[in-house]
Amino acid sequence: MAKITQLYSAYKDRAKLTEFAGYLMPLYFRGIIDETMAVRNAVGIFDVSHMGRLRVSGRDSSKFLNRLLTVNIEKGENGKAMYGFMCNQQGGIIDDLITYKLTDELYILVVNCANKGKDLDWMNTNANGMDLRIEDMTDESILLAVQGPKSSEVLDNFNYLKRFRFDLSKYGNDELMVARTGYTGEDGFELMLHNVSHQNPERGLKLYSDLVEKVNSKGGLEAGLGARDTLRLEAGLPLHGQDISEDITPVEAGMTRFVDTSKEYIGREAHILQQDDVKRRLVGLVAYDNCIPRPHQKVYLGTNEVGMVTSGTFSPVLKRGIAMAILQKEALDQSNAFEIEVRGKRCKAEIHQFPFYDAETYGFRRKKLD
Amino acid sequence: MGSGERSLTDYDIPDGLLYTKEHEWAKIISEKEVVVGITSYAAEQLHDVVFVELPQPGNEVSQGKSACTVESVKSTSDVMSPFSGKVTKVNDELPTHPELVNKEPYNRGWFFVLEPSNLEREKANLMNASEYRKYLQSLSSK
Repeated sequence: MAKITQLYSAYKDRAKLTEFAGYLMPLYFRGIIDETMAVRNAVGIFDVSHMGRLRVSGRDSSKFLNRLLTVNIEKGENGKAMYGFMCNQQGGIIDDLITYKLTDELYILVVNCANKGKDLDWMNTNANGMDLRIEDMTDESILLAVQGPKSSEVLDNFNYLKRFRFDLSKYGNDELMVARTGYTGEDGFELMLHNVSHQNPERGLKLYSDLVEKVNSKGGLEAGLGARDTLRLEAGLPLHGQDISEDITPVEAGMTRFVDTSKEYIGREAHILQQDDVKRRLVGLVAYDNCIPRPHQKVYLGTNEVGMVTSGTFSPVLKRGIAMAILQKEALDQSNAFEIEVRGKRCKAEIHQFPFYDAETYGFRRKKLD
Repeated sequence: MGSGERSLTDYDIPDGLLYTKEHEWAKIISEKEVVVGITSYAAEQLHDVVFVELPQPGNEVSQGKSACTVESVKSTSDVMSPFSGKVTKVNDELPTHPELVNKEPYNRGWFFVLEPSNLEREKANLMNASEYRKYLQSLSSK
């Protein structure tokens, strides 16, 4: 039996549902393309309460997380949200996550739904002898994402927040954490409301319907995981379990900007050794000839198989197939044009930088039109 | 809008067509002319059709075997031919307007026309509209 979030009853009759990492979630409401474009051009709202929310508290919290994660937790000030990786000794990515620093002794980690259990195991394994509490607060809170250029009109009280900053506010009498973060490439907010359980979901349902109304009034839409996936792929953001995994390091993923090798952390030695000798890289590919790459398809340079597609979709913005693929570094040094084997045929694909869209037209860096 | 709790009786399953278990329809115009498309159920399952790769006129196709493919944002699906025979015509509108598959699956969203080679015998392997409606119900109760 699939799990549901506290907000399931709000949308179950309006959404086409799908099972994702054990949760029954909206795949789409009106359609993946409409919802993707609503987020690019206006605003969309997503229930992302399936994501794991872990609370780390206690005197050793900063020390513990700084050793656990690739980002420098101690450098970040209170009110900062930090994207980074939890790695194994070999440098492989156990999970990618956002760490919200409330104080030196209180953090909230938002982790991938499918990885929460193994994250908790790894955290507990490394917490021995520390003054620390690790709690799973996923079932006692909700998480919403409001994303798109008009998200700042929906959450106009929070425009003072800079990107990757958060603040504590109130929704009625309850604490609401509002962060300027997201997984779409657009300006946007993620909101966490505490004390919303399956037994008492009312306040969460109220927040959701209030926000949906505001989103709709700005020409926006409720959106599902289908649009969330096209949006993150257009933005060049990896999905754990697909593009990154325990077998891939942040160095291979080309994401060393979220890794601080000047401090001690688990996986550091592997990352340092690999930096000058990376054998494969995660890259973006744009496909030609109406071809849509799909995960696990093989990538060729001439007759040589040089890698594999990890994620692929139709891009509603580019109106063509786009992909992430892990390719041999040697092949990447030789060429930026490859072929993907799609259903027995070869289709042309070229390397493309992230994001896939024109960053002056779409995304949080876009030129504002006033 | 959404289809979370959509009842199967809401699907448009026209009488007079033949249906496959893979959700294609076939309209017999004459013994030399059968029009092929996918059902409203298939179109809704795919949703957001973005590309259609049609067969070439002249291609031989076999009953129950892939004749062409249809791509939605998230998946690629085969279109199985309801009859064996030769493709005589394809819908030239679909490559530029794939959304017709979603909007008008039984009309402008048709895929191809074939000249069947074994029409009478292969008809027995297909369902009529009421059988197909029952088949959809059996899928939903699984």
